[in-house]
Amino acid sequence: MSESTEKKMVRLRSSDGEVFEVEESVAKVAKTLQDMLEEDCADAVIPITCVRAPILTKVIDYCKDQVMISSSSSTTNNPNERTEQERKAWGQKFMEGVDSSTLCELLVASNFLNIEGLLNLGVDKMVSMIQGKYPQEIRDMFNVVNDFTPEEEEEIRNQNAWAFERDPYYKKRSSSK
Amino acid sequence: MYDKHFAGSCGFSFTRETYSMSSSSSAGTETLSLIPGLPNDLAALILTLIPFSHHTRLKCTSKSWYSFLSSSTLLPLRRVTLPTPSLSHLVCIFPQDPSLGQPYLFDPLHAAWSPLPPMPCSPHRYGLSNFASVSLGSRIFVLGGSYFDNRSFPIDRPRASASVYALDLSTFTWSRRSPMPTPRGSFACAADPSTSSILVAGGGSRHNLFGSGGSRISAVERYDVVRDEWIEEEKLPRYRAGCVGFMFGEDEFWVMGGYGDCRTISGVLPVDEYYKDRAVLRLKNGKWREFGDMWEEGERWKLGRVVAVDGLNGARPDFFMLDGDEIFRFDVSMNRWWKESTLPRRSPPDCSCGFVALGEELYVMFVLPPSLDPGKKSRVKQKPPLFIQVYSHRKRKWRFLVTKSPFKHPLDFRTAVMCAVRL
Repeated sequence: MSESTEKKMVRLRSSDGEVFEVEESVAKVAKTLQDMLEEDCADAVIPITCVRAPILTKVIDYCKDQVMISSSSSTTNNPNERTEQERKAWGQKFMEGVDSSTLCELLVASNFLNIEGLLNLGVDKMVSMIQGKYPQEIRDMFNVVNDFTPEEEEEIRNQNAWAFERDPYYKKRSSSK
Repeated sequence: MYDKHFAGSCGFSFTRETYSMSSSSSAGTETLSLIPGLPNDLAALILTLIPFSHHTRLKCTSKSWYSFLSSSTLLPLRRVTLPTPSLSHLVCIFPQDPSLGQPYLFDPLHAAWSPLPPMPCSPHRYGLSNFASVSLGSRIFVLGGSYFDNRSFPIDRPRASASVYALDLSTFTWSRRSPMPTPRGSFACAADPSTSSILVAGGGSRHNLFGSGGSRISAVERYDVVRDEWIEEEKLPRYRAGCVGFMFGEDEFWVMGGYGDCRTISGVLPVDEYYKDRAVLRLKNGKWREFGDMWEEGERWKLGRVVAVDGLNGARPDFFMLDGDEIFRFDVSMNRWWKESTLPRRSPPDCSCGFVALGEELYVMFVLPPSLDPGKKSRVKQKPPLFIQVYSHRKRKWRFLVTKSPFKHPLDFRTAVMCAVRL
């Protein structure tokens, strides 16, 4: 990468009108932006219509970090290079405290901007949020509407239920039988 | 890592037609998104990645979740989307005759058990044992076995069965498949995923209730799962029953151990002659080749329980044998079993261990004997827990699990049939 391109700045506008100025290399982590920049429509402010400012901030944080890793990984023995374990821990920390609605927006943003790494992080986070939960918790978390009648729900619940050890819900159910 | 565009290619459509339970729904204009605020292809990807044992519980979240998680394309999709180690590695345990005793699926990672529907039964047949069970895709096949027929005379003479049943784990339903051309129990059986077929070799009519007796056969057949058709292959070089079979790569079907001839001690007591060798069928030319003895005289009298652990990225499998309290690994080039490890906790005397390979690990399980401590008398009434020792041959390390088995009677691993499933 030459000096001039590295200094070049790109301006991004979120759906609620906030403008972010980032280095081109940071913006290029997003494949969608990379394609746009390569087609040379980089002069104006790029509108990112489906992403709100707080989400875009988080996305830019992620991109900045990716740039930091990749720029230093070309040199040997760099201190920023991460092992598999460190990457995992970093991902977990990055996603820490993200609630379900923010996570949905993050997923939509990374899907739209085509940032594979962030998408995978988000998907994994979502999977870990869903697994082990009860249907009612899922409905509360994601505003999923329960369109079953109580009888239908009971019927489905009794089909081939898995009994989880260390699981108070199923323990209660099985002992009440 | 994941193919996020898979949902378009798998033919999911979230239309009302996909609902099997749409009795109470109102107008059909409501959006059928799985997770509000998330495009359905992303939500579908997320649900696809949820471990299999959590699916049933999540089904009652909403109708769209129910139809997605009940879809017959979900399990094939998991196999395409997820790397093999991330799939749910489960073991299916048949404690006894699968039409009488309910089989269970066990998910060791989440310590979860799920009952499976019993196999369809016939009013005349009972006491099926020594059947084979293999998984292929999202189906578990139960083949052959030895049973009693209340119409036969004498009534206590076991017969070999030719019947084949398949349990589809996406719908939890059994279906009857074309029977084997030759009835058999205690035979070598392996699934070949590359051609969607199942190979069976040798076997006989021995029943668990009788330690000896029973026929021996050498017939070899191949089942084409897609066409539901059996094809005869070249016979085994010798009669062989009680043997085990494995695929080795895509071209070789191995048959190990088992017994052939029977001699009698002082003219009365029948004793099986156990084979120490293995025979290999090359699928390309359909010819059997015999390899010599896999151990020296006196090392052991018969082959222990053998399992195959799939290699990384489609590499050929490694074979492990549980013999007493020791694990042996098979050396293909030397045609020998070498000691790999010893069980950290020895199995109780007169107890048989279950041995199964899940993912890259070996699971050795036995039922813990009831505590003899007089102070804990109440424990005897409880179901004895299942103690599982897990060995990772790559890390050469053991770990342990204890789980409450859901079976009413203590599991007897001498007669229980197990098969590993990846979903």
